[in-house]
Amino acid sequence: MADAAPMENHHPPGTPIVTPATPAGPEATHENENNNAAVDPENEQVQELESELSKLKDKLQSEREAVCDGMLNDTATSLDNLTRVRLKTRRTLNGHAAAIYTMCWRPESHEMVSGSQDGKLLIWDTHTNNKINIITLKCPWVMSSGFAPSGNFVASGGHDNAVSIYGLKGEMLPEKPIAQLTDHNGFISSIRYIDDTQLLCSSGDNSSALWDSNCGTKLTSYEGHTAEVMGLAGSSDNTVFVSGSCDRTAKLWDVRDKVAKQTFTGHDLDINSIAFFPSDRAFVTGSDDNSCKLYDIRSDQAVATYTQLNLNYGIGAVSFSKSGRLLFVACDLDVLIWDTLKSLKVGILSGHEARVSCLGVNSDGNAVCSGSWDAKLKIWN
Amino acid sequence: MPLPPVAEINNGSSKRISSDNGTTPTTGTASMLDTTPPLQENVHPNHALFKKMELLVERMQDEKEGVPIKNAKSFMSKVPSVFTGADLVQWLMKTYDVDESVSEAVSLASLTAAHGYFFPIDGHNLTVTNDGTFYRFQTPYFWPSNCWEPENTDYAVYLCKRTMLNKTRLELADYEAESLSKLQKMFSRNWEFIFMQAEAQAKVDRKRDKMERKILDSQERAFWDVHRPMPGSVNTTEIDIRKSCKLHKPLKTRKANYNVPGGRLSPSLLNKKNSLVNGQASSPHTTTTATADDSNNNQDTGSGGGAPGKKTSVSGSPPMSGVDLAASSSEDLHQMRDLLKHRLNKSHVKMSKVADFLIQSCEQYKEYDPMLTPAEPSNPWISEETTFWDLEKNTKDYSTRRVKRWAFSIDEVLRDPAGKEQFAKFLAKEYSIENLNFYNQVHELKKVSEKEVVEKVKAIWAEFLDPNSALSPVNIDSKCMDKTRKETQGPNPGRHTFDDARDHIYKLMRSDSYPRFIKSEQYRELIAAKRKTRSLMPIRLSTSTSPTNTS
Repeated sequence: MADAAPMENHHPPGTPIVTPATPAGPEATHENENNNAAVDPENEQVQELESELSKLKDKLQSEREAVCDGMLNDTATSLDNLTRVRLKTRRTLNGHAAAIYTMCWRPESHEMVSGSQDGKLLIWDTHTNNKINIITLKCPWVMSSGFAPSGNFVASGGHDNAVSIYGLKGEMLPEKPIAQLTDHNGFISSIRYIDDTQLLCSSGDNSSALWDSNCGTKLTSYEGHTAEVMGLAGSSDNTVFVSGSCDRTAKLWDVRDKVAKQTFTGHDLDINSIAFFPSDRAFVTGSDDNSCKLYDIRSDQAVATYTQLNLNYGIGAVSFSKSGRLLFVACDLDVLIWDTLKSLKVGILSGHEARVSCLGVNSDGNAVCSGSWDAKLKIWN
Repeated sequence: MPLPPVAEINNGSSKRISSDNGTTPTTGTASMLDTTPPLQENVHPNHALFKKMELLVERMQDEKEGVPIKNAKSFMSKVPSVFTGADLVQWLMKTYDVDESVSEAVSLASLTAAHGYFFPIDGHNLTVTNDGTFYRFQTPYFWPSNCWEPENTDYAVYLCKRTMLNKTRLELADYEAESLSKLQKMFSRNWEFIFMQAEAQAKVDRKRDKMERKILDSQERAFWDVHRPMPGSVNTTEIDIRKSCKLHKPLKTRKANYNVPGGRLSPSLLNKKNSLVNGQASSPHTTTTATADDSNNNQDTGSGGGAPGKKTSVSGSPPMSGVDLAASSSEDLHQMRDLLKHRLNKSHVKMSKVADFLIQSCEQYKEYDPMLTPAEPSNPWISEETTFWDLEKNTKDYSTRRVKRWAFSIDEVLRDPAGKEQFAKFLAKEYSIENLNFYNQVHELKKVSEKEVVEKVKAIWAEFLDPNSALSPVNIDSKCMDKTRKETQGPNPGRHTFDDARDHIYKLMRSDSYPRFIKSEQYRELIAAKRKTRSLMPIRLSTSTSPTNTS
């Protein structure tokens, strides 16, 4: 089991590749005839480091195994089973003309923003079914949206590789974005507001970033994933966040630090969606391999897996209920409801006519909203 | 006797043996942690799904253990090579541990059919019903894993050919007739090419053996049912735009010779027909007009997200292309090593302990989770009343339930305006209210407009921190004080100047004032007080007033 290559590798977008794209070690020296003498000591060092790394990794893995004294649902067997959770559609929000790809609740509110391939962002009052605002986007390929806590701004991003901020105060129909954050080389897959002036976004250029949306400056760039970052989730105190990527790993980051603190593996295919457990010590990932995993931060590994025998599509979106006991999972046309502790399926929300692409439970936990390629959003509780 | 569950598809437990794209096993086996197998590029986004389905279909087609296929006799003629829906469902339930019921097996079958792996011999609806309806397998040539992207010209040729063959069973359905007329408008200038191709194909068709023709016709029809679905059915060829970036280079797309699906004809015949058809191949410029005319509507183009995917491939390409790369500069390795060491230094918590914590957390919040315990006084979407939200804003009357929550953590207190108020009262008595005030002010600083930031920073400094003249000084350590002073008096005092100080004060309140607040008389009185809110009959309507359909 040779340590082939460290995975925390990256190269920041925009900088030229300085190292040759070949595996390091003995082969490199053979090809580099000119620098034979000079490279040797460095290569030795690299080899040493690599072997040290592989030892460390082994140690880490054995530590993980040492604490693995049973999965979550083993400990939870003493709990009563939940009764079947039956939720009904309370609202169907019609207004989009094409597949919906993103939705985001405003924190502590029942307002919500949704974005669709028809190139529009709609801001809803989900209780009265009214559209508070309609924003026409320049680029219709929108994939992500965010809502500032104050309700003054919404952000959107997609295949235009930029985060566009729109101001909602004052104008009825905000025409142009008040800011555009354009330092990414890949699509913007996810946006989360930390507070009114700061937001996190994840991108197809393998990085995530913290932006000051007021000044339009990138405060930190988080590099480490080796493939597109598909989603991110912030803890409730906004000091840490987790990101899930097509490289099948999830990483934990301190907001102030550009290097990942922890990496979690276990999925076989792309991770599409990620969400923090309400008490912040754990998070769940949803993946193309048709499973969701609950990872615990302190034990550094997956403590539960939620999957079912079926050929369904991968998981598109995940979201916890207020207490964390229930996990809503978007899987093809339906939203499945899992008992987080016992790893049992306890409900299913059917009603959409095409794939459910996005999902969210609002702050007070009263409602879960699902958005689908059938151009409708549904509120359930 | 039931067959053993199939390892490839049984995801029920975490003991998966191997996954389909040859990646390393999942947790439970010591493998390269922190490293994952090489990423695959240039695969269709649904690649993994197709592989699973094809495994399933191959098992179905197995001569001995598969679904029984027969040549049925219907009243007029023979129906070659079919199986019934009921047989299929039964086989599925027998072969796989399809838990629950028949409906799971049916939906599994329907999903596989929707992707075009088998189809009902009549009609355009790619679903499976558990009865005597006949189904037929699709030829592997037409499988979606071949990354088909059939163009509108191909569809036009196909529909045109159908009209020529002049058989009642091949009559176009309404939506097909509509599509044909639309296509005729679209390609009006080049219609003769399309017509010629259709004619050539029709000629070839007529020469074929009758049974063979039936089979091929049905397979071709099923192919189009996938790529030009009947209105009302799900289009399974839609690609998630988030994954369309994977289509960096053009996939090996098939531009078809529909008359020669693989495996059905002998090679010599194949070549002969090939040359016949190739002689009338569609000219390139019709293809380009086709794409130019296509709207961005997913229904029209064969690959929903394909266009934007190709457009942005320049930006979307990850630095490593498919190879398990790493620039192993020693710097990177050093960094990695430090990280790992740092991680090893932190202790790992036992999973059983973690489980206990998670369980406790869920139990604690259970009554505040409207999905588990009905919200009080009522869930606004169910009762159509907004009292729930009104009460939240109310800082005068509050229920025991609300007060109870403040004991969970200081965050609960700070989050609830009523909690904050009560906490402030308590702190005032203890002469430590400046901590909370400072905390609040720093919070405010984040919200003010850009112009007011500097002023506000100075104001906060003057009131809480200036060692000489602060009106209500808060207690922070000297290191923090120095840092904060530098920033305040520096050129660019910003919104985050006091973040460190705030963190310090927050921790102070959490470890010192807050626990005392919870133990205080004041708090205990609040808990014991009778509910002051108005009548709390949770309003449960037996019939929902919302007009939307229920699942």
